[in-house]
Amino acid sequence: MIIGTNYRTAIGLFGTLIIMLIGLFSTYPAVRAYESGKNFAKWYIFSFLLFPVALIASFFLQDARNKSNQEKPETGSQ
Amino acid sequence: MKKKNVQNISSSVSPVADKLIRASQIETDELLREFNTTLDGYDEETAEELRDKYGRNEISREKPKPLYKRLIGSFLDPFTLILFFLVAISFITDVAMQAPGERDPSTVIIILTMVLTSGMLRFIQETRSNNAVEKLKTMVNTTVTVARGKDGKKEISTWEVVPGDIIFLAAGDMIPADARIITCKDLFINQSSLTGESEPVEKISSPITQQSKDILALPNLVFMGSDVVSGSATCIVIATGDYTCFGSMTKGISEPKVMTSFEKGVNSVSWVLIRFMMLMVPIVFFINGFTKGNWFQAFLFALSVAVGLTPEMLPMIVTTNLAKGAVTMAKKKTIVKRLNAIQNFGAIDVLCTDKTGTITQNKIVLEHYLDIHGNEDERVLRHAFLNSYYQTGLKNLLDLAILNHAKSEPYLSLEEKYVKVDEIPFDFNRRRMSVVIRDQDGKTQLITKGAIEEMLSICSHAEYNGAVVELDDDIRKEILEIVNKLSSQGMRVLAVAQKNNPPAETVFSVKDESDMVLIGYLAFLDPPKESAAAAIKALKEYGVSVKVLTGDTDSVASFVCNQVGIEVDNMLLGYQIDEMNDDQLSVAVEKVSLFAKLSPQQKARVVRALRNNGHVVGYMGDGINDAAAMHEADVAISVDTAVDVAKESADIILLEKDLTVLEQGVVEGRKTFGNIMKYIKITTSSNFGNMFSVVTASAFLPFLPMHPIQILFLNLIYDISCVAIPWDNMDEEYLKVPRKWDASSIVKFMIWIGPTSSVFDIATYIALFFVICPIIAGGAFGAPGSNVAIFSALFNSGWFIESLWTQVLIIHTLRTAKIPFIQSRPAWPLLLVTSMAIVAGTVIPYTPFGKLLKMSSIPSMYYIWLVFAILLYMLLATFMKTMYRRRYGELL
Repeated sequence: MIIGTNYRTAIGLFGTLIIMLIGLFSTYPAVRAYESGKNFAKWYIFSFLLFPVALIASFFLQDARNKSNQEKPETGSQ
Repeated sequence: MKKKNVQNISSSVSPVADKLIRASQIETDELLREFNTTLDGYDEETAEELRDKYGRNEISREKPKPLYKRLIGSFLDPFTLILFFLVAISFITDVAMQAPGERDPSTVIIILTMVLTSGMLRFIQETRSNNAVEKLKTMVNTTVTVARGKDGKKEISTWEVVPGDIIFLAAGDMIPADARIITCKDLFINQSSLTGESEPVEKISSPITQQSKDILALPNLVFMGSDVVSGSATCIVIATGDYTCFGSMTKGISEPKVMTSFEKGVNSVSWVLIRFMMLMVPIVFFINGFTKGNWFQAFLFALSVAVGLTPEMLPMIVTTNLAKGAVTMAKKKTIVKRLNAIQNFGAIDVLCTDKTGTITQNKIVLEHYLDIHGNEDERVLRHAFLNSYYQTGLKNLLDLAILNHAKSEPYLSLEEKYVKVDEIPFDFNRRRMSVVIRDQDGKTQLITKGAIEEMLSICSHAEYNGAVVELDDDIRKEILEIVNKLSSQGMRVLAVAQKNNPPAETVFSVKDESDMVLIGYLAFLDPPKESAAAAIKALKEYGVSVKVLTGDTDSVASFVCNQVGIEVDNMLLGYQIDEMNDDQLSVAVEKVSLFAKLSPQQKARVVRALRNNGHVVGYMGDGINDAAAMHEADVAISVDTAVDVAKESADIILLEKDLTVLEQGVVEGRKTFGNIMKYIKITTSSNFGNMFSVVTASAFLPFLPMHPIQILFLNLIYDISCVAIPWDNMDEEYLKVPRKWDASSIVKFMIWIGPTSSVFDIATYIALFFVICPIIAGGAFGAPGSNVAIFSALFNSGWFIESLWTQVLIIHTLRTAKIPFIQSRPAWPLLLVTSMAIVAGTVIPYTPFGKLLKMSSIPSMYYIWLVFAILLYMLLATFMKTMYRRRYGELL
């Protein structure tokens, strides 16, 4: 029940809740990126600012560490 | 500090300083007369009379603190002091400054209840653990050999020593009292506990002519608290108990307590939390003051927030956990001398151990006595018997094995045929010892036994095929082949050599050990303890690698290692370590699990290198050659059969031979650490979350979200629900990995997990403020017809219950990295206490007591929201802890 007198309370509480929820859920793309060898902090900020984009982008990340291992030429017996 | 100690002693801090100085200056005959004794010592009756007169030979400081001091000590920590300060303020504002009818002591009562709960639990647990450890300590006895009149030499407890007693010292002995040396042989004493000087000091027996007031520098006196590094001595006791220099020092000077990284860590967390609280309280005070206009209410609210943000249970949780660990280990006949050692036990990832007496049975048996060719030869045993029989320090297990083997005729009558002329005592650098004897015909003989390499270095001849021949390379090769064969069977081999008619002297020294004739070998067997292999396997499973550091030969050590399941891929010998610089050694110690032929200094250097590499190192030893390494280690472990100085250096003493107790100690240490971290991490994150909630409520709500008294009561219930944490289970996976203090993990955990509870606090504010309270109060806050008093009372009660549920349930969510209740069950005390806390907190608003706390009955529809919110909260907390684990690898 939001009325004129408690309008400021509504903005404050809802605003804080939304920011905090984004803050928490932003860890998901950032952790995925971290597991793919990316910088966690940079990805967290990216997720916090553009959560939907970061979430989708994180699903398309390849593991940079695995990739670099795969790209190494085979050694050993011929 | 140490220099100051010496100065204090020099200026006659010792109550018998003049007596000690005089004793060092006069001839020993005169001293014996003064004490009315002889070299045969007092008889038992006289000794008892003197004990009645002078008291027990104990330092009074060692007596336990009186009950009232321990009780007061349980309440002296920064958090309790803050709470006492807040009690004083509450008393002034709520009681002293109020009119008689308006006095409300409830805040004072609640805060005092918290303080009493925390302090009393801490006191009870400390007392329990002290009692258990003290009871076990009586089983550890430090002894000394004294002359007791017609009873001859007798081993007695050190507390029985009286002034005038004649005592006999050998390598590894702790010196039981201040004494004047009557006779000594190559005596070196470690006086570091008194002077801080780490190098051993050489002592002599002759009177000192020059005037000196620096008692500790007098070379013919030995002092309580120091220990014999090498050599042997006969002394007369001058001062005992509090009258010794050590007794005076411990009375006059309080040694600074050395803090472990864990203690430092807990202290730093405490101060971070205090600073955090001190920052938050003014912010909350000013925001509420400015937005609500009631500065007195704002002050009381800020005061309550201060109490809420103070983790007053932290000291209790830490002490209770450590004490519980010590009590558990005490039940397994293990003494934890320092309470903190139990936590360090769980942190060790490398356990270094001596071989003999620790992983072996310490029951050395003489298996063979062989000539140069490897044939049994009685003559070799006879020489070995004479050597062992006439040496004064009869503490060496090898000597005991020889004497046990030769305790029948014809060996016993050898005593009548020979007299001892002199001896050259054992030391760890020469690794051999000699006696000089004379037979009835006047023929003198120097008999030496010791480690093979060291013996070969002093032998120029050998008895070969019945003749004395020059010791050439071929014979050397043959000797070493036989020795290697015996060593590969796990036997410890000593060589025996002799020399007839050494130069006619009365005092022999190391230089006389030359040009000797090697006559044969002695082969000893010391089988591993039955539990050693299982214990080492279990330690491996718990992430603790075991390294053997021994003075013994590589082949014997290697054989024992294989028997107990220690893989010996690489091995380092003492001389190889000496050739390495610190950088090379730090690389090498990581790859090697067996270090053989080490001197005490080399053992200490290996331990230091491992510690410098970031390992938490435990060292288990039982001999004087282990004392330096034990001092260097994070946790020093000893066994009941160890020499005095090793037991003195130990943090933990195993009273039973079963080594599986090591694994139990590691597990107990990790449980202790885990439960402490559980409280610290859960409470710091909960406080961090509450900070967000309180600041948000203060900034945006038109009234206080909770009454000060309600915040205090909520805090009390949460504190009580944490009391059971020390008894909680830890997941098996957590116990499998060594745990050490990492302050940064606490901060990370706080930042990641803390805001989760705030999300649901704020969601509850929204549900209460915009939906539930308007329905019950007759309209939105501030709308015409809405009852503001009912509105705010309902809001306060609603947040109280939500806060209580989330704070208590988060303990179950965060106590494990698994799914709570399903994959990981809490211990029943924790489950019981937290369930009771939730039930009590939920029922209170409906009781008269709830009315006293200014609470209002909550409509049932609120519980529909609450259950829904709590389920979501648990899910979000599980999501966050999963993310945290994926990022940092572990939760607690």
